[in-house]
Amino acid sequence: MIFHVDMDAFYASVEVREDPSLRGKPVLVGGDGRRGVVCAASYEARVFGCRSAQPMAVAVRRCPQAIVLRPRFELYEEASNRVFEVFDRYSPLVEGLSIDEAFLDMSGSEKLFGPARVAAEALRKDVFETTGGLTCSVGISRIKFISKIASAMNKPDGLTEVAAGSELEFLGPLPIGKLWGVGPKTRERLAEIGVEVVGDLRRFGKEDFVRRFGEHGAHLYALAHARDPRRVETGRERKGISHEDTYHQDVAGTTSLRAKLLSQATRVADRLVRKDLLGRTVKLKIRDTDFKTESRQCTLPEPTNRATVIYEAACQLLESVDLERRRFRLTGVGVTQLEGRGSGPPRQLDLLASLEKPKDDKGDQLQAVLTAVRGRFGHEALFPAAAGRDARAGASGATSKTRDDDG
Amino acid sequence: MEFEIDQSRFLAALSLAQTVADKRGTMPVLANVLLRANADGSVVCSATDMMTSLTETVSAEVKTPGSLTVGVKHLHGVVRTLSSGNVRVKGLDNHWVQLNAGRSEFKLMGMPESDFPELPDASGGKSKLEYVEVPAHALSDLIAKTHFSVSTDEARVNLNGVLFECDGEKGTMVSTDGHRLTKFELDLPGPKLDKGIIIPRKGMLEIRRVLDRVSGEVGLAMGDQHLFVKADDMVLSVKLNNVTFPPYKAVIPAAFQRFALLGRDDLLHSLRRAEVMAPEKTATVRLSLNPGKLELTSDNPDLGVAHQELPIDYDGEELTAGFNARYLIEVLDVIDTQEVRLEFQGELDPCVVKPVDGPDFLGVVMPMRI
Repeated sequence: MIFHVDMDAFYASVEVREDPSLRGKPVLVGGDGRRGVVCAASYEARVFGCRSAQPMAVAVRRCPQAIVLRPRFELYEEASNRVFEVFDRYSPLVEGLSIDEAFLDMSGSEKLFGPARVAAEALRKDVFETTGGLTCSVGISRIKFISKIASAMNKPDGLTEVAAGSELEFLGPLPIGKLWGVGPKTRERLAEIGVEVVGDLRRFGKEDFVRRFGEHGAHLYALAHARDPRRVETGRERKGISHEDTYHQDVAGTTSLRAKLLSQATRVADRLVRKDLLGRTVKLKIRDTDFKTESRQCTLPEPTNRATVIYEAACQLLESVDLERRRFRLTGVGVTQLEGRGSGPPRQLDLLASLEKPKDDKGDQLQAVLTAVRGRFGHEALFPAAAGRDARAGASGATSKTRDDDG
Repeated sequence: MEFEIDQSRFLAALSLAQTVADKRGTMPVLANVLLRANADGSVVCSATDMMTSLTETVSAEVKTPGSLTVGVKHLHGVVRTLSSGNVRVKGLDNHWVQLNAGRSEFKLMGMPESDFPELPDASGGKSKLEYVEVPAHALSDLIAKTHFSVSTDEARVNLNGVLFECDGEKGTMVSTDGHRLTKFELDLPGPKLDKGIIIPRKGMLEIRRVLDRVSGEVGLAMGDQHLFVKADDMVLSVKLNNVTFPPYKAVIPAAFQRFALLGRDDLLHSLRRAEVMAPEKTATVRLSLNPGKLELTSDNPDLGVAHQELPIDYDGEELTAGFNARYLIEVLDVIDTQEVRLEFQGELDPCVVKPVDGPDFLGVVMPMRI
């Protein structure tokens, strides 16, 4: 059996846990600026039609009494770590999809935890207790995508089990849009041929359907027939963490660009430290005023979470970019090939490392302290002076985008 | 040019030439062998990849002296399949080479022999080289016990060879790929070297091939840029890279906190079994040192788990460390004493493997972070 566990209104719930006076009130987490977007809405806010990914302005219009909070990612990460620790206790095969949801392969766990439903209830209770009151919803079935659909059926704080053998029955009456990969466009085209619910699709022969919709059609056809051979994959490579800024004023020249890279490398390093990750590949992205975007990447000899190492690599990459007579509107620094510190795959240690550079565990410790200080007091608290004033949070002059594709 | 030569002797020379020649083809002529027939009744076969060069002189019945050059791979391929007896080799117009044996005839397309590069002068020219005679088996032993940990990572040029040190009485070879290091020292009345030289991997393997064919002694000499090895009718020269070997003594642990004595065969066989069950890519095996026993665990999520225990004489603190099983196996493979000694510091510190009551050999293996 495969569980899909999804935390309920995760960011908002964490905020409520932190401040119990918010309980029962509509809470929106997200940027409150002109271009802010809702990251999470409490169920009380959803009643008013607020939902995540909505422009904050729209959400506030729908629910003027909502309490708007700026996201505090460190808090959510911390809570997420607790949640995943619980997952790890229930299954050796956990596939994290994002900060607040995961697949757990529970095959063969009956002896340990009892029937799937009992195990799921125990897990939900465990999550609630470990996190100090956060709830989650669980979907149970033999098939990955069905578990995912099921977990959303009884949200929040719910449990839905699709018993083995009843998958087709379960899928039949569902709106076709519930299937992975059916967006508004596909839904429209499917409606044209009379497919509104999943069961409708089964009236077509496979060839007929594939002829109409191509490879994508074959995929949908398989899903509609409850066929999804994907297994729960633990080793899924985390993609990367990056930080990029689009500047309101164009940037030119090595010195200015380097200052930007230092600021960005510092932010990326902070995120790595908080997530207890190391990155092996450093990427540089740079876009000039003609919208020509270039990217460069290099692989480090040793995975790192240190701002200085990431910065130096980014500067090296910058050297291969033609800076002559060009002004840039965007730069970004990212790391990929992430691995957990200690939890990653076994890593062969280098015998000669001690010769090449003196042992300095201090660098790691320093990075941890710097990150902790910034996490607590904000980015303006401690920052490399060379990054310039613009590096400071709140300083206008750039629109930032941070990506954590490390689900 | 024309000569007649014994098939098996010709084949032996071509076999060596074939491994030396450069088949990757940056310079096509380097894939050739140069055959020079002398009036004194000898044929000199030469091959080079510009780093390693070999000549072997074979007696033959020379009808017309001269020289020619032809691709060694196919010449070797033809000669290898001929039956024993005499082979007649004749140079034709336009660099064609004709081969006759019994009722078979082959024509191979050659190249102008003037294209073939000049090989390093084994006599040393004006500054005459002095050859020191060393027992072939000793030199062979040095290479055999250290060659496997030479780095094949082309980015680490200074590790792409084996370090050879000799003070005239003792010879030492050291190799490391950054993950493990092997060192072997024995009595070797070899040439006195001011400092260690790095013999590149390919050259080292060629030397070993030459040594395999020699009983008794070989001559060793150091030129300006080359190491020369002279044996019987063969001369091998290896160009030395002008790089510096890392100060290896600094990474050989000077102290240890724990040590254990084990039967070499028991440990080797257990590791081989563990390797089967270890993750293919990393070959990680977990070694746990406990009072009275050594536990070996390998765990491959796609395969299963192997757990083994070996009784050992140990009553120190417990220690668990991960290792690439292959690294330990390769060290043990070249140890031929009944007992071995493993020395440990911490779980992230290198482990030293030594023979008990054996030659002056040691392997240092860096653990994995598990």
